[in-house]
Amino acid sequence: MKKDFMFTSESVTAGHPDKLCDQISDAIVDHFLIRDPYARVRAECAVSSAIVFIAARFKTSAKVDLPHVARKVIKRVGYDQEDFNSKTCSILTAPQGFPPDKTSLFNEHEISEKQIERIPVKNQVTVFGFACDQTPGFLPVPIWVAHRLSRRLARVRQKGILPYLMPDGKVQVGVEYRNRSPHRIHSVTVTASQKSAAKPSLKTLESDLFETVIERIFDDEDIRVDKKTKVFVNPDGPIVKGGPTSHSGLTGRKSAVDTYGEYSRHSGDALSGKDPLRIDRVGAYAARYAAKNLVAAGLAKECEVMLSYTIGLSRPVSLQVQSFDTGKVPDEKLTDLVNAHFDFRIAAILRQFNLRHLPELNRNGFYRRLAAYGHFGRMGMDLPWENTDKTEVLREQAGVS
Amino acid sequence: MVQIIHQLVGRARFKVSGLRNNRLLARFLARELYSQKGVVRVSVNPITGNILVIFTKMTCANDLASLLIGALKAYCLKNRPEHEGLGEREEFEDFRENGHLRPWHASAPDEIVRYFNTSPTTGLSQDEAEKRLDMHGMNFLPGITSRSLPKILKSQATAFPVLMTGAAACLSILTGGLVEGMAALAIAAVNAAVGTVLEHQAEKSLDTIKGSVRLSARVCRDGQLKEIAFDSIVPGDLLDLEAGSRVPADARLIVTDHLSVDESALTGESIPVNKSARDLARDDVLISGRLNMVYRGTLVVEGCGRAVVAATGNDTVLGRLQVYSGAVFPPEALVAADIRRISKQLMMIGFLASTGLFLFSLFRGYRLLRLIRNGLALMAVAIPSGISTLTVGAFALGQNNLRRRRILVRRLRALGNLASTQVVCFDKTGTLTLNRMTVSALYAGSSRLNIGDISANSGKGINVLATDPDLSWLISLSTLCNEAFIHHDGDPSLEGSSTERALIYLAESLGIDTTAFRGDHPILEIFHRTDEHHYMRTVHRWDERQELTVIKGSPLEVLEMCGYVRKKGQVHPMGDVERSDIEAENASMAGAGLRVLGVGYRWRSEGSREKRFIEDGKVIWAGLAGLADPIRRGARSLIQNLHQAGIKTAVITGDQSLTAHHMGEQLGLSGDVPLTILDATDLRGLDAAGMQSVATRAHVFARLTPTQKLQIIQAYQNAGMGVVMVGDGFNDVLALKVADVGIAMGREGADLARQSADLVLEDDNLQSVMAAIADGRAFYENIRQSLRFLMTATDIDLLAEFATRSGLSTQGLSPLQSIWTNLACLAIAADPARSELMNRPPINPDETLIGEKDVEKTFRDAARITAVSGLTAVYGLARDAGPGTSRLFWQSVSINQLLHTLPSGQINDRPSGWAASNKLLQATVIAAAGTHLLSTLLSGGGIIIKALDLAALGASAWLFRRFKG
Repeated sequence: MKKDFMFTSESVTAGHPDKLCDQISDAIVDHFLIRDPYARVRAECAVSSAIVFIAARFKTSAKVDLPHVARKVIKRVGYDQEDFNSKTCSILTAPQGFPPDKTSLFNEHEISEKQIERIPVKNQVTVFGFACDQTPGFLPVPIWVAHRLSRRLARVRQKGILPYLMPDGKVQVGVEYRNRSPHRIHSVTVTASQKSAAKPSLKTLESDLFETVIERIFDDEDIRVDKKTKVFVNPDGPIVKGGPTSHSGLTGRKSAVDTYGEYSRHSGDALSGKDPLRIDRVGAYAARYAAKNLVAAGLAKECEVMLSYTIGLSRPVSLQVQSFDTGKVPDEKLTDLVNAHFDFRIAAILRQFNLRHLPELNRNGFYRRLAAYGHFGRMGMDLPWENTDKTEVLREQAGVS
Repeated sequence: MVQIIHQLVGRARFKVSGLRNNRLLARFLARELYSQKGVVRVSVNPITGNILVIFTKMTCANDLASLLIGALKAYCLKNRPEHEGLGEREEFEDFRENGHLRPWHASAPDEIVRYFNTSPTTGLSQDEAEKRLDMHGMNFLPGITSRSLPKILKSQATAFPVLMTGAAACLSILTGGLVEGMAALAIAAVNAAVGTVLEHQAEKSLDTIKGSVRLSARVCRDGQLKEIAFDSIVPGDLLDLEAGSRVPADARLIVTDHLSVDESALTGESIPVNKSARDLARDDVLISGRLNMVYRGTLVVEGCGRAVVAATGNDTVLGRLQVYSGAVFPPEALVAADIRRISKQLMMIGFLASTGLFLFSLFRGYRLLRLIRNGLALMAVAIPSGISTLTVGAFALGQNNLRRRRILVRRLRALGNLASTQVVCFDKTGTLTLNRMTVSALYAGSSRLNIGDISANSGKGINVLATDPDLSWLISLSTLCNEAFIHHDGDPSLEGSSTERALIYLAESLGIDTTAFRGDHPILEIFHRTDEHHYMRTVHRWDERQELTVIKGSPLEVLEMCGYVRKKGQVHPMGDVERSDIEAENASMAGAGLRVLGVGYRWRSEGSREKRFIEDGKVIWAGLAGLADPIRRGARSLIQNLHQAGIKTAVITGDQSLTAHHMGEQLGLSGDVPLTILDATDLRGLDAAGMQSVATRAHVFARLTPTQKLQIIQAYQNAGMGVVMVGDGFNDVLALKVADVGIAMGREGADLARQSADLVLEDDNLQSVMAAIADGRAFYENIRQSLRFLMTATDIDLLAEFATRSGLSTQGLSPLQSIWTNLACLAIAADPARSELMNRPPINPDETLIGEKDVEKTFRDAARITAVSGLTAVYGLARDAGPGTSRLFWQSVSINQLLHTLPSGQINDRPSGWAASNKLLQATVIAAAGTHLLSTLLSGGGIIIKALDLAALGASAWLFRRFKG
């Protein structure tokens, strides 16, 4: 593997149409789980011009007003222009309700190990979990910085610092690596949408964004924008309004933004819009949990955990750990450690992370909040898969001090 | 000037500026387009200003557009001097010319009040009003008077086909063909007579409908609100307008609250206009821009207001329009235009054939006079004089059928459009449901109360009320923010909207004296629900020191304003948990199909500096009330039957998505596919294509404001679909008007809805919708069969005539026979509706009545009949070539032709079995066969000859039937 390279990752704001769809899908999941933690839900969303399409299948007796949930998300994200806003947008729903699924009505906190063993996964998937020591959030620098930038971009609009901005925006960050560690910021691209074509001019926008967004977020980063860093603001000219009015959105199209910015592998399946019984969603959380604990324990600088699940079995059929030659112990040893200390059975994951009850405990949205700015490395959210509670044990067992 | 909205191969829609509401131009353009080669059908809509043209593949939409531009220019040039009065600009000039007609919109309200010497609060005095009535005359529009019997007769007698037949017959008589001429004249006379009678009947029934409509308006006189007839409104009267009022005269607004008016009758603009009392800076504003005026003939859709009458009767804008144009053309059915086109084609064929024959015979050396006579006789019969009778007759028959099912036909065009119905839109409340609401669940504080039958469990109910302060407070509030009231004279009865009645009823049955309670806390101010705010708000005097504001309406909208919640009698700030609990409770009520209302309130101390205006986050949440509205019997089976007939269904409701979803599933609205719901409060943001794709996919339209029903109908129409709207309330009026067929509930529906609909279900029986569509399809099918028959008959006549001229026989076609043809043609139109018609998909609105395939088929049929009948001629020739042969030939043709109309397994897709067929047709065939028999028996010759003749006729008929089946 090359030691010196350049890597770019992108992130988008919560107002990006794809992310808007992810958030609507996950808000629907939240609302169903608040009413019925045992509900099975799949919600997919598409948005184009002023029309939001929601297809939802659910097995529960709980009732959720899908359009209302969607409108709340749109309002929260901040779309209020005339041609697309929470009040007047049209929402086409095709809800398909079914009676509760008996096989999902187990209480993972009460059943025995034997019963857990008997609860199989119902999807086939290979998921990846990744962690590295490049940032405090154990994420690679490019996606970490990109998320911070996009979050700041949304914030300057919400706080009224740059009131001319619209909610839609995206950023890309290029990082130069030397000897496999981040060396400098090579380039930053910010694409921001604005209310009117006339104001501000590209020049003003460029300097405003540089001052209020780009410079700010590097204050507390180890590596910063330097004189040689290339900064691009709306390289394709000003973007007026943006959002669903100018490009459509779809649930699950931003998998890389949700995970590791393509720095590591990630499953092709969407994370949003799925209830916790979907292994393609929670498997990714469990894999991250294992990878992060290994890195946090100091057993590797970078680590990727891969899990393969097959329908009908409760455990992954394959488990692999890679440390990209950064491990203090061989990869086989790491794999054994993960195998011994992490339980990847679906019911055990539910129990470990309390996934079905988190929406109930976080009434202002749990899965919905995950759906923007990444599912991992979220410092502001107390995510169970970001816990590093196994580091002691791992270190002990590995014989590393 | 002309814009192509969309185009496909063979079809294009144009937007033509200036076409809106200009029916003269509409007619002119339609004529011009029809004259263009390759144009199959034209449908001009003066309401929307659009033209739909169906054309052959060889034609190009751009050519048509340039043709339209040319036509438009020609029209402008031609009509400048006489028609410019229609233009709004001119009308404005008009104001200046007439001394007493001032541009009222440019005057300030107090100026108007002074000018008319009236009062903005108490209105005119009754005496003054009567004086003014004498002075200004009745507020009456001459309107469209129905035509008298002689007038109808005249129009029937001068109809082009009848005229032609008559002329040909007269010429025929003059040239010596007395019998033929008389017979042709008789045909023309019979046709004209039948047409007159039928049309007269139709007019009469329309008159009775018109007579039943008595318009009245609410005015303030002597400080009191009075309901008075339109006729007695005088200038200076103070009008009190509210949603659903019809504006009786032109008036200047002085106070408004969210007033929005449908001015489509005047301006053609289908989207309602928001009105206000503010002054306009300029006086040269078009009618559509005079926002502080309301005009006669328009309709208040929303809000309320007061206005001073400025012009009445013929001085109103509508009056001047009507005086100018004389009468408004009644809208025309699709079918009628088609029929006219076909009759023209037939006439053309007849004329050409006659001329051809004439030349052919001349060439063969016949005598000129006889040739002319024969040619004229042929023309007299070939011209389809029956076709106009057929049209009127079929419409009258169709109307009678509907009448028998207690369906009132207000506009005949409906009949023609029913057959091409592809989607039926229903209003929910009052149409699919009974609109008899009962409160079935309450939620306040943290307790939910399910109310089964209150009267049975009233003891329990009172207990709950006594122990739960939140529930009892919720019920009390819902009686305050409520406009229903109890009538105490005679039997106590509740009046008001169904929802509000239910709330009062609940409170009363729980032992609350609502009259006393509401009397103690009188309403100081009231704000009605609007398109923007789906809640109503009342301000009450609570005691000397405090005012209470109560808000009731859309639960989610009320909840959004609330920052506090009442629990166990205490007010707490509302957190995320409470909010999401309330939302979930709302969802569960709505999911069970209930209409849910949210109630909130707020205190304000007397004299406080705070405004009465409610700010978000300051309102206290009181609770939810869920109301059940039972679905009408037969609604589900109607929906299923419509699906069976290939017709899409859609329901439009103001309810939330979940309520709508429950109802959609109960009714089986989506058939086999998952139910799709469109949740939208405003469709204006959607572009046409988006709107079309969304609207045509959804099965239920939820949370829609009434005025947007119209947009849904138009979306379907733009997608090229025929739409039936079924509604009951005044908020359905616009949709009923615009739909291809508007059907109103007769018994419990609003007057206005009945008056704007094409059909009225007098007994509110939903199944009649199905029956109407079945009748519409039968009507269409019968007209088609009749026309096919008529065309076949014409073809035969021509073929046979050629045969005669080429020497097969000596005598031409006897006009007597064409009496039978005409009668049979009418008889076919009286075919009863057949059930198998309802298992077919609807007729495509773009389809023409008689296509090229049909024409081919009629030629084939004609050839077959002539060939078979030719056998009798051969037999006759074998005997002797005298007049007997031609008589035999013609009789055979006539008999076979009539037999052709009779049921057979194959031909015309008509059901087999003599019994299943139409009695009128049977009678015609028997009578015709009888006369032929008689004439054979009376003819000269021995008994054997007669027997042989009969045998020949019979053999030919038998052969024909065999050949067919």
